[in-house]
Amino acid sequence: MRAVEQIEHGVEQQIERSKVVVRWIIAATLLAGVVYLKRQDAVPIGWPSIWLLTGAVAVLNLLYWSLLRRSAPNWLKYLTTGTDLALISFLVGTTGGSASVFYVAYFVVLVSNSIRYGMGMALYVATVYNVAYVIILVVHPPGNDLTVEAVKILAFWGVALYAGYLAMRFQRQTRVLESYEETIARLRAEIAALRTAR
Amino acid sequence: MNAQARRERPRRVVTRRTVSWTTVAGAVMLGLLVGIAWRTTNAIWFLLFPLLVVGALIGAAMTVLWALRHF
Repeated sequence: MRAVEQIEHGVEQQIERSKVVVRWIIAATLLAGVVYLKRQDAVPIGWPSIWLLTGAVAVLNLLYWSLLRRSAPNWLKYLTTGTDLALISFLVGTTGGSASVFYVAYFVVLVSNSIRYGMGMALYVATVYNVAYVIILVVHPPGNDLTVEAVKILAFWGVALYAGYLAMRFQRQTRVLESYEETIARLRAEIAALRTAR
Repeated sequence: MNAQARRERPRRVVTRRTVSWTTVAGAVMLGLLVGIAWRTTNAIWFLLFPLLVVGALIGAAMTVLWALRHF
């Protein structure tokens, strides 16, 4: 049991390390997009907000990288996902609220984490997104009719549940394959033992 | 179903009463979800969505699993 936990721990550390690399790439892409749109006067975000956001991503990413050099604590995946969602919410809030072009960035966090960690993480991402998006809607009200916003939130929940379900199925199939591999290895060892006994 | 088949049938671990209540609660939560999405003018109500979505899903899942004699 301890060996299994250690393997899972190592896998989580590897996943979080790859998330750090992906975070650099996505942050650079989003920064390029924001700077371009700012120069075109297409988004209302100020330069201080852009540099604050970039600095926050860089500092957090370096912090996570230094933590991951030793190990990956169990809570780290929830922390990294939570801060990712908070930073995206700040970006969405400062670039037009519910009309922001960066709204789709939420789906990157949702799908990548759900596939990596399964249904539990999908529910966590959907819940944090739900709360963060409500805060955005309260700070930047889109008008009296909120039906479109409700549909957007429910669509996000739909994607989260489906991604979580697919991840769950994939995890189950992986476990079945692992048990087959173990059985094959055990049978091979038994056959080898019988041959040497003869 | 004859008497012997009824006796041999495995005993259900979740009672009909529990499933009925869960189904009703799930249906109410689904109704609330649709109602809030359709009529609300205050975004704060959307904070109930995680509870309502998960509740409605649990209700639906329990009903389907009961109907398929999973319990």
